[in-house]
Amino acid sequence: MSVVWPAVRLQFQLLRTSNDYLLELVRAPILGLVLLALAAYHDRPDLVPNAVVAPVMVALWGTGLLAAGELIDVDRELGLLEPLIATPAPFPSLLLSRVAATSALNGVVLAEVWLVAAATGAPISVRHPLVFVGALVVTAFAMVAASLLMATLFLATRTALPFQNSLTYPLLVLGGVFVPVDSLPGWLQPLGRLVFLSWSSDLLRASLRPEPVAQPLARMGVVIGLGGIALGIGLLVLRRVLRRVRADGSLRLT
Amino acid sequence: MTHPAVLTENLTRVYAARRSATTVTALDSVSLRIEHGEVHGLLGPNGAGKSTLMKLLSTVLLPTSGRAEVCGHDVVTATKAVRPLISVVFGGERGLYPRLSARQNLMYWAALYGVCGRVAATRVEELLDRFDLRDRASDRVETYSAGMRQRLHLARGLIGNPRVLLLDEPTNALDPAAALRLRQTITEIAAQGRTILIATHDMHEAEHICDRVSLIDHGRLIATESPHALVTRVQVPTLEDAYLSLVGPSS
Ligand SMILES: Nc1ncnc2c1ncn2[C@@H]1O[C@H](COP(=O)(O)OP(=O)(O)OP(=O)(O)O)[C@@H](O)[C@H]1O
Ligand SMILES: [Mg+2]
Repeated sequence: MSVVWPAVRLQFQLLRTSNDYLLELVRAPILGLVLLALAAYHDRPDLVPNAVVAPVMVALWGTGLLAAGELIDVDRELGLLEPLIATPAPFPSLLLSRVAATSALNGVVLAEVWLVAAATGAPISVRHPLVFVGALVVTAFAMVAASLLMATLFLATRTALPFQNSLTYPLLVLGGVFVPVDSLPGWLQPLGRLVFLSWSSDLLRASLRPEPVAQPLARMGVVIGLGGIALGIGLLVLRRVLRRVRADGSLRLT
Repeated sequence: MTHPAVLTENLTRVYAARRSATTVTALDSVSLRIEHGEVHGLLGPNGAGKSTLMKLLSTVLLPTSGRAEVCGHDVVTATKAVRPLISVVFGGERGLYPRLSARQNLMYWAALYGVCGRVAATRVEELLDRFDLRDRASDRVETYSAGMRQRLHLARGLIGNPRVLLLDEPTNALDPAAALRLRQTITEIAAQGRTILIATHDMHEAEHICDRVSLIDHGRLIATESPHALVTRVQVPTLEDAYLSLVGPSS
């Protein structure tokens, strides 16, 4: 029994009616424009990859976090969570499919940012296409996994918003989205290396620079590994949380 | 079939209150047997435990003690077998995506019951016809009247072809004519051999559509019989009088 495609279709239908996600599509090119202007003003063409990668990663993290919080919260508020759990459909597959569908938005963000870069005449080109595509794929996987883990967290705690707000910027900094983790204070660096965003950002930036990329496969492996860990923990916790809400009757909002 | 549609034995559910030592016994040792094709009413004051019983049967809540079966499958140990057989419909606004159309809502719900592709599309159109929603099937649900929404709820409840339909106050927002139509539909559904458990505060409704009713108060089952037998036993003219004399005017 496959609920993957119906869940993806549902998510696209819902996305079309939601303004929250639209906001990401508006914010990303503006952020790109600002960062590209900074690089141009200071005459630092070497920073153009940073200016292009940052808005994409910000949007990726933003939509991932939004999806994680929204899927559960909106369903719960609409009174859908209980009838949903009562169906034979596997809840984790539903969540994963819907989060994955949402992450497809980031393809649009990528295109937007690229167009902005092209329109402003920023010197940008993909020097290592295989690394670039590979990094995008493993990043999408890790983001979906991270979203599932966070959605599970939100289901367990019954509050998404405070988490969403407090997870946004710290993780973007820790994840080396604007500046590489290597330039963070030394004591923060090991922490940043635990966040897949840091490996993804470094890889994407490197794929846009002329210098050869060191150990691309190993670094992609790290992203997959971190994503796999998040997925494993997410699925495990989800099973327990689903059991727990059935036991204590906390599935309903009120 | 030798197994009844629904069977409970000393079914008990205790809720622990958050941040306090007090507990609420929402359902207290309820034993109930409902045969296939029966329309069974759950009556009782607010907080009696009707919804709790529905949740236990629909596997979204675990019993504290006792047991429950749907078509012979235990709701705790055989959850996977129970879920395809049941469907829950709550009254009111909740339970649908308001920004999607009736058709989109139903197609999604069909998939959750493993009904996909052309079979799903056919069944969705049948249900849209049957519940008089065809003309507005592509409009957003948020633009529907309460009555249309209620009919859509029922269509959603039937999309998985359940053996047992759990209806929690399905007619609470309907005008008298719409409520009447819904009652007729419920009777039709039962005539197809489906079992219906319906919680309601409408004694008139219960009297007309239920083969038997169960009266619950403070989590305890105080009577299970046909509306007629109950009225006769308590020696009052209507089910409402019987309810009031058994449960008390205020509780
Ligand atoms: N999740 C919960 N946590 C704690 N107590 C709960 C919970 N759900 C229900 N209760 C309590 O259990 C009792 C039975 O509630 P239930 O919702 O089953 O009643 P009901 O018969 O459906 O009432 P109504 O007619 O108002 O819908 C009530 O005292 C209620 O406060
Ligand atoms: Mg109730």
